[in-house]
Amino acid sequence: MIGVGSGKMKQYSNILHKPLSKGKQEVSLSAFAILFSELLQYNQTQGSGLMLVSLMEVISEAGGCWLSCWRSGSRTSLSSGQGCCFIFGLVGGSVIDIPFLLWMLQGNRREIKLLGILSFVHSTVWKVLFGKVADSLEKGTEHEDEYMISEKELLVNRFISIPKDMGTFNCGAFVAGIVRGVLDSAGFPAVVTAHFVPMEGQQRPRTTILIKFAEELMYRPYLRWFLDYSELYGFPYIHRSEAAATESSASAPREAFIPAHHSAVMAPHARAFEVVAL
Amino acid sequence: MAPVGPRSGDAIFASVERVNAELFTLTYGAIVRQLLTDLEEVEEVNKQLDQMGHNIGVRLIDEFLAKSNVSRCVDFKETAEVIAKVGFKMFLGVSASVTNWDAEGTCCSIVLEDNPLVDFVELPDTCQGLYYCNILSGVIRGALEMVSMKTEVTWARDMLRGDDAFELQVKLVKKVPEEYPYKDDE
Repeated sequence: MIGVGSGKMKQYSNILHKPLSKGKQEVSLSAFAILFSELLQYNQTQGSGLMLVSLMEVISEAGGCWLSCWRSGSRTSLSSGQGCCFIFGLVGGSVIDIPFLLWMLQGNRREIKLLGILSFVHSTVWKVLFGKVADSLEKGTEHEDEYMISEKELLVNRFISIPKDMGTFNCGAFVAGIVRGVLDSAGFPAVVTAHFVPMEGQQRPRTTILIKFAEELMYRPYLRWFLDYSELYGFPYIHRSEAAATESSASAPREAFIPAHHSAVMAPHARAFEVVAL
Repeated sequence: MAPVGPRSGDAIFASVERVNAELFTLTYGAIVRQLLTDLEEVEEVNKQLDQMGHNIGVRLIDEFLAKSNVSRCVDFKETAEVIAKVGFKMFLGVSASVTNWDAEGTCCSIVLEDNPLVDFVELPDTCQGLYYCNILSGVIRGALEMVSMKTEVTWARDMLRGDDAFELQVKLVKKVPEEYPYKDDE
């Protein structure tokens, strides 16, 4: 059965008792598109008149807060095992602090590798949000902390034409915010921005979501190595559980010290980005 | 070839492009959240949501008429039925029913059987005065305004406030006669 109308709603005294999955639900694309345009117009016309850059930030913020409401847990849906993500939890002053665990689809494993979480975003998250895998996931060859996810026709840009005077404004900022939210929640802080990239032979530019990971993430593989050694030589100030938190399996092979993608970076490439997944 | 005669809500919903309802739900949540932060007063948020809904309704009616092949409704009763059976189904994928007609046939209730807007939502104590789905009432008001009906739409029951269903009360205030001729120079 398509759609949501699969019976009467039940009333629950507590939202946590409410079952999460109601099956795949959909609404019409135009309902979403018009609602989204309303979000844009509100932000554009609002009192002080936001600068374009900050407009993008606000929209990206909206995308981010969207995700702070999202706990992933069930296999098919965006909603979570805990289920309790109220949009209002944060507004009402009672911040509901549920430790976030991004359950990976395969065996509910928490992702700890950059590439793992990126391909999760590129395939799984995209599929849930837009019904398809993103067109490409590439990594920067000049800066190893930069990745990009590209999409020829991003859903939020589909019905939007940007006036000339708004320059580089890109509604993809909303999706960038969502991506940032996912990465943040999974423990991969990053700066995420959206850009138009002109394509040869295409009338409309494609949208690229550029992900620049926080610096400390680049040292994470080394940290693991350090923790392994601290265990061997008994550095007293690192608690074992911290080590365990950094690495899910203590007996991981040592070559993790140099992650696979590092060697990929060393190879000279003519292109600025190389394709990681398509 | 375009089908003749009105199409059922289900048929239209099956033929239009659709997106994941959670994307929609949470985007709406993000809007409400932002409004609450910006405007601070719950009453102001209600107003702003209604205004946004009005803007949406004004645009949505075009698409509704284009896709549904609905011909002119003979009376307000038929209008309400069409909103509930075709309108809600076509855009939100949910069905609604019309009840509680008053004697004059100008006031009725649209009861929503399901509401994709309120998934994951719980009102905290500070937001008790908020009509979370106020955008829907605005949409209906805006859409009907475009087909020459001035209406008042209010929430009679709201599950987020502890009621047992979502019930919108739609009251026909007056029919605005169409004005001919349109001015050419405007």
